[in-house]
Amino acid sequence: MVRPTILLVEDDHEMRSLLCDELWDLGYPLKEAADGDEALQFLLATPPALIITDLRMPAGGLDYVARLRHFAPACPIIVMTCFGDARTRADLLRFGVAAYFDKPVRLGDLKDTIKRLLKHEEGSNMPA
Amino acid sequence: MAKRNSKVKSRRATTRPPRRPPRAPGSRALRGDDPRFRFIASSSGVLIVVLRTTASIVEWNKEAERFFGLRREEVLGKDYLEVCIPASEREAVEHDLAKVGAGDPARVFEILWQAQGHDPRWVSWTATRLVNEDGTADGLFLVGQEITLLKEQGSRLDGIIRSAMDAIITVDEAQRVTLFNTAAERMFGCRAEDVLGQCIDRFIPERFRERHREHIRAFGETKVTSRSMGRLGTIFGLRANGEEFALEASISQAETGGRKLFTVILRDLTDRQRAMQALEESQRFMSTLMSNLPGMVYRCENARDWPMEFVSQGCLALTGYQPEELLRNREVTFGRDLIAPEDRDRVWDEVQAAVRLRQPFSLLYRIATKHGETRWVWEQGRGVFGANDELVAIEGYLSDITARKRVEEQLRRTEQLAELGVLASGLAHEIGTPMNVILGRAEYLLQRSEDEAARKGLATIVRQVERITKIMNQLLAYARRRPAELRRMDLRRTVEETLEMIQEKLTKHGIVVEIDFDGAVSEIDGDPDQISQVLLNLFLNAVHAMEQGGTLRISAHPRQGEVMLSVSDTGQGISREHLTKIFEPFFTTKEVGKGTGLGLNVVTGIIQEHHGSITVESEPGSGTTFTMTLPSHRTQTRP
Repeated sequence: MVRPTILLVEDDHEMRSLLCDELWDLGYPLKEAADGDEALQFLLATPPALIITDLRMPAGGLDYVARLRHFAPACPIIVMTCFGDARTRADLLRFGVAAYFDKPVRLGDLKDTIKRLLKHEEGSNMPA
Repeated sequence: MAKRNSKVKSRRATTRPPRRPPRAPGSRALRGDDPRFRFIASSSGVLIVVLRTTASIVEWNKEAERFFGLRREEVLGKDYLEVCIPASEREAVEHDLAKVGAGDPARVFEILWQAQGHDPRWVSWTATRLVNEDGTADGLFLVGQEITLLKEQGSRLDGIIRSAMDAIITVDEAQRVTLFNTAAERMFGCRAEDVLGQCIDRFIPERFRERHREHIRAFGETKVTSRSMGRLGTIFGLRANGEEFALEASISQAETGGRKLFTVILRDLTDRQRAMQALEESQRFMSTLMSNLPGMVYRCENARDWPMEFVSQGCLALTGYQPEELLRNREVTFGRDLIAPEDRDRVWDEVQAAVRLRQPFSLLYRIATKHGETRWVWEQGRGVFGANDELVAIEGYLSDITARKRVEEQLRRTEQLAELGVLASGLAHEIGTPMNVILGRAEYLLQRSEDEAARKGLATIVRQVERITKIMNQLLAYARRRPAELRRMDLRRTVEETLEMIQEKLTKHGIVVEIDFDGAVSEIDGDPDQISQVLLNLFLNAVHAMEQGGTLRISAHPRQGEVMLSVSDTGQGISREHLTKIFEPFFTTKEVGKGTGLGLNVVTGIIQEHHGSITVESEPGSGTTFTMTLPSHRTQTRP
């Protein structure tokens, strides 16, 4: 069985690199995308176990998150954005994103949330 | 006149009051050959002509010779009518003479005579019948008198009376009109011929008639020849159409022929009164307009102190000074006491520049009111120049634009805030990711490094990034602040709830809280969340200033529709140097990492959005007091 991947969507190369380094030891294959379109292409080909995505990037924004939600209704989505405001946060949570972080985010906090969501995900995917 | 007189013209004087016929001298005595008669006739100074019944001249005195330029011998036996009467009048005179000859009383007729080489002259002839001792007719006795001078004076007077602008009316002792000139016809709206001989009463409103009669009578008893009738107040006339009007009158009296005549000269005051009323009305209008203007109209000298010659009533509302206090030679001068010191030179320079160019000026500047309040005024004015083109005064109008300035200021701040919001959001987006990379890398390495020095350095990086994050968050909170929503709120409750939020800190630092709320203060118009934010900022500043303990005192008192809210601490105070800067953004005295310097800026913004104000007083070492004014809640139940 192919382990489900974590999809990392981030237009900043350094940030993506940091996240890859940090999340490597979680044991999930990591798939990187540099913008919203790339993310959707991957999503349609291989449904991931979890999506971590930036919000403001090429082909990003709230519409992009709504599309992700549409094509991967069961996949937990973590959205990170730079100094988001309360309204953006409320909109995203309404779309059903699993977690929301303002950049700069503490890696420890992010990692804890990812672990929690994947555990939950694995639990729900267990055959009965 | 001269032209008309050059043509021989005559007029029969039939309007002369009838006289008793002069007693005819005895016919014998009047024979031309009677030396007595000759003597009388030659020395009387009048023309004397005696006619036979056939109208042939039998006597012709020296005066007649001189007047007609014809010697006695030349005219004796000639026809009087042909010698003395111009052809155009002969028929009428002949008729008159026939009547007298037939026994009628004496007749008088006036003849205009023009001898060759002479100006026309008027002669008044009186014809009397001569009778013999047996009563039979013996001819006519004619006495002629030259009346040219009298006639000229009369016609001149006639002309004056006729063309006078004032109405001239003459009445006799029985108040009957004997003269009524053209102006009188116009004034009273009736024709002289309808009025002559009638009682003057018809021109006097009924209620004044008795009094008028009494006045005339009393005046007649005095020896005064003329006086003004208006002395006892305005008198009134009555036009033929029933209209009453005010007039001015003078009266004179004269006795002629045993009759007392009163002449009144009347001037219609209707137009003058109308003009006066219009003037009064326009003055009243101007003064009402000026006193109701929501500003101040002025006239002042062109001098640095701007000494006022006139200020309108609006002065009080605008400046707090009564108009009298500002007038010239008073203690208060506009230039020294009202115009803000920093604006004085500019006001002077701009006015001088405009005056030099003979142009109006328009200025914006600040004034200090009597109560120490600063107001923005807009002034429009111009120089007033005299007959010799010299500057005599400055005149203009000042209006209070403080409210407009405040709105503009608020708008400007809102715009600034919006710009700041855009800037801050853009900045946040741009630096958020790099900061995250720095923070993340430091965290990543921190987890994996065993080297103590490296770990310490990495921990510093993490802390510093977190510090930047905090500043960015506050900046964004400030920039993204929503506008205040004013509504009725309980100030005391908000104070208490806010204190509740920092209870832990207050206890920790041993700070005592005192609340002093005037009973009259309960509700204000405000945004509870934002007022709470203001209080929180001030309270935290107070706590920061009293880390070793102290008293936090919150008091509120009503003042002229507003609430004065004070927050005082007994902490370290703020130095004079810092006091002027504390409301500026990003100014902080707190040690690095403890304050962003945006707190009081947020406070000021919120208070201003509440149409309030905030001031600070501080004494280094003994504490700081922030005093705010906030609008009281306006009750809906107005009388």
